[in-house]
Amino acid sequence: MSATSNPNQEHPPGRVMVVDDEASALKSLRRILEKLGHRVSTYSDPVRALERLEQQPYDLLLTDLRMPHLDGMELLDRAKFMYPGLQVVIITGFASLEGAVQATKKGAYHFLAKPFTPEEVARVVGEALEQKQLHDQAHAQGSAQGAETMGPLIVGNSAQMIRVAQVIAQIAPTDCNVLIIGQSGTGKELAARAIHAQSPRAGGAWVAFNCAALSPELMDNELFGHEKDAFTGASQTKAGLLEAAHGGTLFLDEIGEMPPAMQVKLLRALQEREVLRVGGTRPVPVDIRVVAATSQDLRAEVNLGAFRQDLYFRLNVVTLELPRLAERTGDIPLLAHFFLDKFKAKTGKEVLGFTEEAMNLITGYAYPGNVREMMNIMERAVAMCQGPLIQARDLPPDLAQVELTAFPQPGERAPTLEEIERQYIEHILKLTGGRRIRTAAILGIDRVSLWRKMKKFGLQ
Amino acid sequence: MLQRTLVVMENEEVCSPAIDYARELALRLDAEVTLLMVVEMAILDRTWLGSKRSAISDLDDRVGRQLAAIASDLLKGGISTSVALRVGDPAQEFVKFLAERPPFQAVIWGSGEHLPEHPKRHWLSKVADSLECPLWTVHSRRPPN
Repeated sequence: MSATSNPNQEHPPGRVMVVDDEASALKSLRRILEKLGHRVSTYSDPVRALERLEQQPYDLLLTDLRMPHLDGMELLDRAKFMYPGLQVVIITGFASLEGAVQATKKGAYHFLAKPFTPEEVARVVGEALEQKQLHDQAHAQGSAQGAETMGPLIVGNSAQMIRVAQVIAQIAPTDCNVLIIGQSGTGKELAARAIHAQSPRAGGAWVAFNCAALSPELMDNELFGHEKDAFTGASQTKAGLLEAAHGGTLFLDEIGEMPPAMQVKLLRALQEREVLRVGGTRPVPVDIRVVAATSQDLRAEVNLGAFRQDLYFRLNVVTLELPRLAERTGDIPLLAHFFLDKFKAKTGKEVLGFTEEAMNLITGYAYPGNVREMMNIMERAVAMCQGPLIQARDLPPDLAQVELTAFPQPGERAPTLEEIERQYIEHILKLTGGRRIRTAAILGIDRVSLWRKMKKFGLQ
Repeated sequence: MLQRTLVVMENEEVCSPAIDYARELALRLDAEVTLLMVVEMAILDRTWLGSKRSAISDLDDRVGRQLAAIASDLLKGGISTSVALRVGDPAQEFVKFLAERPPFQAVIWGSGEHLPEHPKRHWLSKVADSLECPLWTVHSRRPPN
C-alpha cells in the first residue's frame, strides 16, 4: 500500500487528538495523520487527554475503546459534553466491535477496526473533519440567521441546555405539535427553529407569527387570508400564514394571547387540516406542523376558561421547557464569548475578551430578561469598548451599581445544603478562574468528585 | 417580541435606584414601562366613598404629579411609558391590575431596596407566587470584601 496518493487532499487539515494505550498504534496514527497535514496530539492516558481537552478544543478525537482508568465510551461522553460539535472516531479491535457500534449510536462519527490501513484512516478522518466543517458552517449560518434574535440554535454546555438539545433532537423528527414554555428571552423561537431545522419539514416553509401583536380582525386576515372582495379594500385574494406554512412549520408565539374566536378557527384548521379564507366558501387543504410558545401558565388559563382545553391538548402533544439564564449560570461565560465574537464580527472591532472585573460583573448579574438581555448588554459593550478588552465601564452602569434579588426574599426560606454546596463550588471556580485542579485542591476533594459535582449542578 | 416591564410602588414611596434600573432594563430590552402606584386605604363600599372622596382626590393629584415626573423622564429617554394609580387593598388591587392587562415580562419593586419590614408578610410577597414573570428588588451592590 502506498501513501503517495492523498485520499484526504480535498479535506481540510484539522486539530486531531489520538488516545490509545497502545504505543505502536499511537505512533502509526501520528505518522499517517501528520502526512495528511493534520496537527496531531497523542495521549496514552485518557485522563490526561481529557484534561487537555478541557483546556483546548480539537476538531477530531480518535480514541481506543478499551483503556485503563477511563474507557473510550466515557471519554466520548465527556468530550461530547464539553464540545457537542467535536467529531469522535472510535478505534477498536474486532472483539469490541459491538461497543464501537454502540459508540456510534451515542454520537461517535464512525469507528476504525484494527488493523486499519492508512487509506481507511485518511478516508474516515477526512469525512469526519468535513462533517465538523459542515457543522461549524451550519452553526455560523444559524448565528447569521438568528442575528435578529439570539444567535445560533443552541448555545450552552450546562446540563439543562444539553437536555433541551436532546429533547429537540428526539421530538423534531416526529411531526407532532410542540408547546414550548419559557420566560421571555429564553430562546423559545430559536428552539422552535431548531425543531423545524431538524425535522423532515426542514426543506419546507418556516412561518413565525406573534399572537400578541395584532388585533383579532387583523390576525384573522393574517392567519387565514381572504378572498377577493371579502371586505372593502380586499382587491385580490390573499393566502394566509397557515397556507404559507403548507409543507413546513408554523410557529405561534405567545399563543396564550390568541383571542377566543381565533382559537376556535385555529382548532378547526388543525382538526380538519384545511383553512377557510375570510369570505371564502371552499376550504383549502393544509399540511402544517404547529410549534406554539408561551411564557404564561397555559394550563391555568385553561382552568380559568381563558384558553380552550381542546386546543391546548392539540397543541401540547409534547412540552419543551426552557430554563431561565439564572438557572444555568455556568453558561454565562460561554454566552458572553459567543456574543462577543458575534458583535465583533458585525462591527469589525478587534476585541479579544474581557477584563476580570468586567467578567465578574457579567457573571454576577441576574438577567431578568434572560439571554436576550445578555445579548443586548454584549452588543452595547462591544460598541463602547475602546481597547482590546471589554472593561467594567463598557457595561451598563447598573451592573456595577445594583444587585437584583428575585423573590422569595432571602431569609424567607433557608437554602438547602445542596444549594450552599453548589454556590460554594461556583464561588471557588470563579476564584480560580475555572481551574479545576486548583479548585479541587481548595475544596479538599479529588478531581473526579469535583467533575461529578459540577455535572450534577450544571456548572460546566 | 413585545416586552413589558411593571414597576410597582406603594404609598407614594419611590426608590430612585429601582427607577434607574427599570430605565436601563427597558432600554436594553426595548421594553415598555408601566408605573403602578398602589395606595393602601380601607374602602368598605366603593359606591359610597363619603369622607374618603376628598382624600382620594388629593391623592390622585399628588400621585399623578409624582408619576408624571418619572414618566416624563422615561419618555425623554425614548421609553414608552404608562402610569396607573390603584387605591384600596394593595394585594387585591395589584392582582386586579395584572388581570386587566397583557402579561408583563418583569415586575420590579419600586418603593425601596427591600420590602418593608412588616409584622406579617408583605402583601407583595403574598401574591408573588401567582405571578407569571419574575419579581425583582433592586438594591445597591455591596462593595466586594
